[in-house]
Formats: sequence, structure tokens, C-alpha cells
Amino acid sequence: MLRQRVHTRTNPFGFVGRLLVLVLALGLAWYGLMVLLLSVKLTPSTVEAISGYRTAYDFLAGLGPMDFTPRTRGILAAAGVAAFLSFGYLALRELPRPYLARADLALKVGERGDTTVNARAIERLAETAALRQPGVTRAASRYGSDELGVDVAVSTARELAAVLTAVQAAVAAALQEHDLPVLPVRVTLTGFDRKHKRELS
Amino acid sequence: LRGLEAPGGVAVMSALTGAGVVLLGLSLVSAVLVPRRERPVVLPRPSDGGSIDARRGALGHAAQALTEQARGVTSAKVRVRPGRRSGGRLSVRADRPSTATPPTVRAAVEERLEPLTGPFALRARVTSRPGARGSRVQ
Repeated sequence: MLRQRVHTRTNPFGFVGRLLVLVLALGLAWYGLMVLLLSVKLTPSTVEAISGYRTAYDFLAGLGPMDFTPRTRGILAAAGVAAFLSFGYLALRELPRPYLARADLALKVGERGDTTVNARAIERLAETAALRQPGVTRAASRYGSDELGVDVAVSTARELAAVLTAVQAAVAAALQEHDLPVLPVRVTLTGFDRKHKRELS
Repeated sequence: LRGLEAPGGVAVMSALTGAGVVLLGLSLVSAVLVPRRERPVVLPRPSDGGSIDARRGALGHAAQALTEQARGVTSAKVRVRPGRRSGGRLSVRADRPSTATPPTVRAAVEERLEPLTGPFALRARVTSRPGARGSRVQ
């Protein structure tokens, strides 16, 4: 079965898209600031010197129909279409595409039927194995087609690394014990439950 | 542009609009530059297959609990800054009673944090200051 993930790798065009947004954002902030400075009565010549707003305005206001020859119109039309396509593509690449649904594990596919293990059953197995470890107070697992994630909260700080390593080993052993494919196990410490203000040493 | 440069209602509206546009631009800049996902602290050299990591907040709470066990520390604040690939930095600010000296507190805290700094390849930066009046080591 194909991995049910729509978008997992970082697209190289994503960087270009973010760069364009950054340029646009800096331009917005800069010319917004110029409008603000003009409206609080900073000298127009000073604002013109640092931003060239009047020069740009005069240039655009002075454009007339005679300035656009058929060749210029053609170039502008082609540039507009190219900009529409490229910016549209970049905008589509920037749409968030989160992780889809997790799938059940197909153990055996035969002529008389299939044997599948529900994803929640695998997750429950991992959570039970994790909770058996001393020091683990909470566990939540998520089965992916190529990885099993286990989020744990612990109550001991001194043996933290050892507890996390033990959880990973216990989950892998539990998978093996139940004849399930041994997936890479990703253990994440997500919480620290402090029972007392101080741990007595 | 003349209405904008002269006093009056246009200038006031333009000032408000300009401020709004500046805010919009800055929020876009922060949206582009600020990382979207929290970077965890990765445990180097995990066992076979998979990986082990820790969220900053959880690791910080564990480090705080260890710090407050150190001799001469009344309370502590800990910040965790993950490294690019593995490891990271622990910034610890400990409150101490007036009877304790900064070098002894630092040494005690660093010793207490060893179970975290060693496996997670964290560098601890410990500072101490005299605690509030009445605070005491428990």
C-alpha cells in the first residue's frame, strides 16, 4: 500500500515562494512607513530622498496610451501570463498539506481474505509497553506506515535518558513479541510530571 | 499625494492605513522567518532504529527539578535551546541564599544536571543570584 501522505518533503520552490513573500512584506512595511511619515508631516523632500515615492508616482501618472507600442503590449502580456503561472504555482506549493489518515497494517493478503491489524491496536500495544516502564506516567502512540511514534511523560529526571531508551526498546520488543513488523520507533518526551516540589535524593 | 501631505482628514486616515500596512508587513515577515515547527532536543546515538527526542518544555521542567535539588539553590528557571542537529544549550538561572557563593552553586548545579547534559549533549550555562528575602533551601 502506498504511503498515505500527501506532502512529506520540503519543496525546493517553497524557498522561492517564501523569499517572494518576504520581499513583498518588506516592501509593504517600508512604504507603509513612508505613508505614515508623510501623514505626520515629515518633509516630503526627505521622504522622497529615502523612498523615491514622488518619482515613482510621477512616472506612473505620466504614462499614456502612446507609451505602449504593440511590441510593448505583447511583452507585457507575456510577462503577465508568465507571472500568473509562476506565482500561481508557487502559491499552490505554499498551501499546507497535512498528514492524512493513518492506515491499518496488512499482515497477509490472500485469495481467501486479508489479515489486517487495526492501527489503534498497534498504538495501544506501544502505549501499554511504554507504561510498563518505571517512571513513565503517560503514553500516547501514533502509528505511521513507516514509523511508530510514542509520546511519553515521565516523573523522574535523573534517569530520563535511560527511561526513554528503555521505552524504545520495550516497544520494539512488544512488536516483535506479537509477530508484528518491527518499525523504527520514535520516542518523544512530551511532559514531565513533577509529583513533589523536590525529589528526595 | 497633496491631500496626504496637507493637514486634514486624508492625512489622519493615511496615518492609520500606513500603520496598519506596516503591521501587516511585519507580521508577514515574522510568519516567513519564524520556524513553524518546534525543534526538539535529539538524543544522540539512539539505539537500533528510530530516534529519541524531547520537547523543550518537558526537558526544561526536568532540568528545573534537578537544579532545585542542588545544594544551595532555593529556586531556578531553566531555558532549553536545541542545537541544529543534536545537542543544545541549557540556560539555568538559580536563586541562592546569601550564605552560598556563586562558584559552589554553579558546581553543584552542573553536577546535578549531569544526567541530562551528558546523554543529550547539552551545554549548561549556569548563573546564580541572591534569592528573595525569606526564601530558603528545602
